[in-house]
Amino acid sequence: MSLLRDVLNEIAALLSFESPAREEEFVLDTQPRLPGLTSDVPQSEAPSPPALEGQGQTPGRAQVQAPGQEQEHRQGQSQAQAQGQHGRDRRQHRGWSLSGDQAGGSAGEPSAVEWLSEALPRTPYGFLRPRKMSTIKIGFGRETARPVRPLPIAHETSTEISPPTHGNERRTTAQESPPQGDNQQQGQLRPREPGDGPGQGLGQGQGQERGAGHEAETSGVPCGEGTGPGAAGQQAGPASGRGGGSGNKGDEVKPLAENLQANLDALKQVLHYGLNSDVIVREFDVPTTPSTRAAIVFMEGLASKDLIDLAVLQPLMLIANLDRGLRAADVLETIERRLLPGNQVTRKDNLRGIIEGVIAGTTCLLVEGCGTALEVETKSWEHRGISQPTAETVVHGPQEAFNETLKNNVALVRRRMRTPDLVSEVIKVGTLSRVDCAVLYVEGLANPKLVAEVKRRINGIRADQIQDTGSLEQFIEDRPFMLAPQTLSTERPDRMAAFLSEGHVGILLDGSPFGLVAPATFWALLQSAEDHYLRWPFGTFLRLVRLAALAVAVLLPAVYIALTNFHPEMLPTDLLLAIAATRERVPFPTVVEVLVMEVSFELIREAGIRVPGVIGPTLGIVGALILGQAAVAASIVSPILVIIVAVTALGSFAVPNFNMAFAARLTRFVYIFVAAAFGFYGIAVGVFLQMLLYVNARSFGVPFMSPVAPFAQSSGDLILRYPSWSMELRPAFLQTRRRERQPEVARKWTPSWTTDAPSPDSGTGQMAEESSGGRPTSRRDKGGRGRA
Amino acid sequence: MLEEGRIGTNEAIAATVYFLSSKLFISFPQQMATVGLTAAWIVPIISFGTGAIGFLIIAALLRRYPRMSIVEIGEEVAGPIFGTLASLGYLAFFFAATILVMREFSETVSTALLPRTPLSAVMAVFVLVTVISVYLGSEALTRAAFLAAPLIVVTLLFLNLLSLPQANLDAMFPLLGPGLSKLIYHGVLHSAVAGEVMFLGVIAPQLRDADKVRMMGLVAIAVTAVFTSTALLVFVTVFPYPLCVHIPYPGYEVSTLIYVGRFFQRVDVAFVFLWVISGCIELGLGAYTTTMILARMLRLPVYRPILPAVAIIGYTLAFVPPDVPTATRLDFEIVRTLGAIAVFIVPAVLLLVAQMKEARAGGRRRARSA
Repeated sequence: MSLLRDVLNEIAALLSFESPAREEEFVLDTQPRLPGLTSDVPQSEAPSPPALEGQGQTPGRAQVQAPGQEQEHRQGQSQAQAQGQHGRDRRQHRGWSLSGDQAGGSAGEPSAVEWLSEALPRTPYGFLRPRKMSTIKIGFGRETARPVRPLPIAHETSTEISPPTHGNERRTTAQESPPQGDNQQQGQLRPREPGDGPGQGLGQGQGQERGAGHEAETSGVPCGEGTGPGAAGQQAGPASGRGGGSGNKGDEVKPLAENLQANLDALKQVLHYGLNSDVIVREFDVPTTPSTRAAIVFMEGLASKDLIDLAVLQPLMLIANLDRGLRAADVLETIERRLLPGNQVTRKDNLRGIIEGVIAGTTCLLVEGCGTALEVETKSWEHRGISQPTAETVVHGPQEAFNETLKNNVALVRRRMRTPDLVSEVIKVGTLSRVDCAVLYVEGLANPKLVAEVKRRINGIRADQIQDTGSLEQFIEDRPFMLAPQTLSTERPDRMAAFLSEGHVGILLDGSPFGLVAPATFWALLQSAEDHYLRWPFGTFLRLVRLAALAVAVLLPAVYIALTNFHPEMLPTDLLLAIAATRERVPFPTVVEVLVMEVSFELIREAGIRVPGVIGPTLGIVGALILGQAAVAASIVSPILVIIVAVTALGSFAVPNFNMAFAARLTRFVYIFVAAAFGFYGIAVGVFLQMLLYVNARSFGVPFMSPVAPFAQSSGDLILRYPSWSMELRPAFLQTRRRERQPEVARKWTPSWTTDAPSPDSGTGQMAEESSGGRPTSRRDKGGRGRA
Repeated sequence: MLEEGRIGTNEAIAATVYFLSSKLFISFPQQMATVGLTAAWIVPIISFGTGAIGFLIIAALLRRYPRMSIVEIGEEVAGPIFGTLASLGYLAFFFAATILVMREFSETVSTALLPRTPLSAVMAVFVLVTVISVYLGSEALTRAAFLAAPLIVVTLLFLNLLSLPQANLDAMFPLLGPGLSKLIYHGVLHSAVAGEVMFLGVIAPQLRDADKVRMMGLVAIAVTAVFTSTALLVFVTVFPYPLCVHIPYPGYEVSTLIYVGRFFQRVDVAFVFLWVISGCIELGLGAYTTTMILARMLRLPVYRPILPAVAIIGYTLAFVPPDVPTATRLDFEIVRTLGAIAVFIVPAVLLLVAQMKEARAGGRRRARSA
């Protein structure tokens, strides 16, 4: 027995069937144990990400180490050693034997074989896949931290400690920024720069990337949070973390010189001035005595020329009358405070910050003798106006949709949520595209762990370009091989605002007219904004219709095949004879007939999207002829099948979420095949398997079928839509910090609940009484709290 | 990690109900009618009542040793040898029950739905689904059971209600069938029909509210007893006694008789979803319990490596009974009778031993303090 036990233990350890994907994934415990949640803010719980250079560096790489850095370095080292210990444990568990030096994460570089073994875990899908996310210790769960081993680097890179930079170039709030003194006390340690995330690019980034970047990922705290100067610190960190791409030159945090020409030369070199026709450098003299040389740099097309002319050049060239004998620094101060009427002026003291601003559309003002530049907000480019939603149309409700401009989209949401707690943190995504990605949430309401996880995933994206949220969601979803979407895509700001008020997290990407909502549950994907704008019986009815539509879209052709091939006895005799008569002249078996029609329909649908608009109507005629009259007349398909395919298509069109409808379209083909092979037995088995996969899936740690399986209390906003006044609680699975959405008595105006109700004699009182009329105003009226 | 995920109270109850009541859709009603005659519907009440008492013993053990499964408790109480022997008893019960149920479900599908499809193909599909479901783990299985809970409630309700026009209430009499003593004898003898409730003892470390395990088991047994007894009552009234002992799949036969107007007839296929899904859940839970018991016995850190072996052995052994009646007899006359020793009597002995050890340890403490 013991021998058998040992053998099986060995096999188990070697094969490691312990579902690494499950271990690695973020799990938001769905059981509402809220009392402990308020104290679970990551800033206090999770280890702070190292924001200082040198932390997490492999020993021997840091050539310069400040005295104040030692402690940080030791922390990083001990953390790395702890990870190394964990790694050793795992390797021993797998039957590997390594010497201490080899095994310790901080003691030496792992071999390529070791690294590959660590980086390519066996997945539950049975093949190897590069590890993309590490585990974080979240909630009350069962997850264990798994170390992310540093990547082996073939060549040594110098780790240069940059001089400290000023904090005045960041527009951050006080609570986001640590006390400046802390950083200053670190002597030569450099605080995070905007766009200075886990790595610093090629120049000095490798060591830091391997240390700080991975440490931050492992600890589950988004880079920059809680240590660096907040949002600005997060912006471009991950994007530049791996270096590469065109932004490398800009990644150099090179301080500005006091010589204007030197600064201009550096800028021109990085921006490929001369080759890049849209880079504009305008040099001029500020009328001081003697005159002061200055220059502005901006990108044509991204910055407003009118604004630059009127708000930058005109005051500086024509109005300026500065005092004599001003020092260069005072000139800059005077320009900033008196001469630049722009509403957003920021100081920048390094090349990288300037370049990022210029690329984004701001105008950079450089002054002779100043080691600091001024960045004037002049962003302005051609963009589409706010238009009506195209994919989420409603009859009753707001008729505006997101467009391609991030600021507009954030403003559209903010217009509907006029609370200062609505936070929009911007993270740069893509090493080449460097697109702004805004993470929206309501501070004090959304679960901080969820917010941190969303930011961690976005920060962890290593892609050269991401142009749309459709691409973005593929980088951050939990189960890439699952057909159903795990984030909810919406183009409606009102819907985004509604989700945010529930405690979800919104994601907007500059250039994309669709936002993402995370996490997404199966039920949310079947809901439409209109459900809430209509009275509750209608909303409930629409939801039931949609659920039926999904079932029809997925199962109807399969059921038809099963009925006609395997279980004709279920059909009434007349119907059976009718079907048999129509199929008499059709030479194909039912499954071929169904496939022909379904494929034809998919062709028409795809062609309908790709075809130029002017010949669109022609396509409709062709499709109608092929799918309808001609196919039946040619005895290729039976007339009843045309009805089946048409109803199936209607069903898939009724699914409100485009991705979910797509999943239904693909799943339908699977069911067609299993029905052709096993009839209803196959369909039932397929339904069971799909149920299993869905209940096993997660979206940002939340079970996909929440709050039904696992069961958790909700506000009656799933399949049935309860009256709005009875939706008192936010979804339990989100573990929001404030559970109550509205008080138990939401219709406080009714006479039975208001203490200062008008007297029954007054007209208003009568009206109120009549309108309430003994009808329930809350759950309490119905005799209990009900299913909160 | 052997225990993956957490299982909520509702999910555990739903899974146990499916685990216990899925046998209703195979030849279990026929066997009940064979021993209970016109009072076949009373036998499951007695069996499940006895099973409830047996489960109380298991629950007492689980409460005495929190966060431990029934397998570890056995080893803790009786030592490694006797503990392993006890676990072998559980293993034998669950493995045999799962294999025979798979055979019977496959035969049901083959007979009622796919008469021209080879039995091996039908069974292979069941095995495949079982492997996938066990691979995904108990969390997914129990959640799927909870998600499918309305299916069993609504379908059984419809089945019973729509069959009422065919029922003849006179067939209930004599009310006590072969007599009360025989009913009690057969009920107690076949108390292992509730043996699957020990599933809760195997997943006990994963339960979110482990202190409610007694409530979970009792609720599941009560619900199943109501389902089974009601269905059997309908069955013996639709097919009077002499006839019902010759019908191998009463659930299917009853559904074929449903006739609500000219259009709504022969709807037996509509009930296939319930049969197949409940069969899949039962097989998944059975295979999961078997695999977990084996993994815990062998102290494996994970259970998935032995899953293919368990599946292949199970698939092979399912073909050993030469025909359905043999499989049914094996299930009802051996597994459901001797199984009670493994799932109810052994835990009772363990509880006794645990109490004796505790009393002895208490005596020693008192002597030492004196």
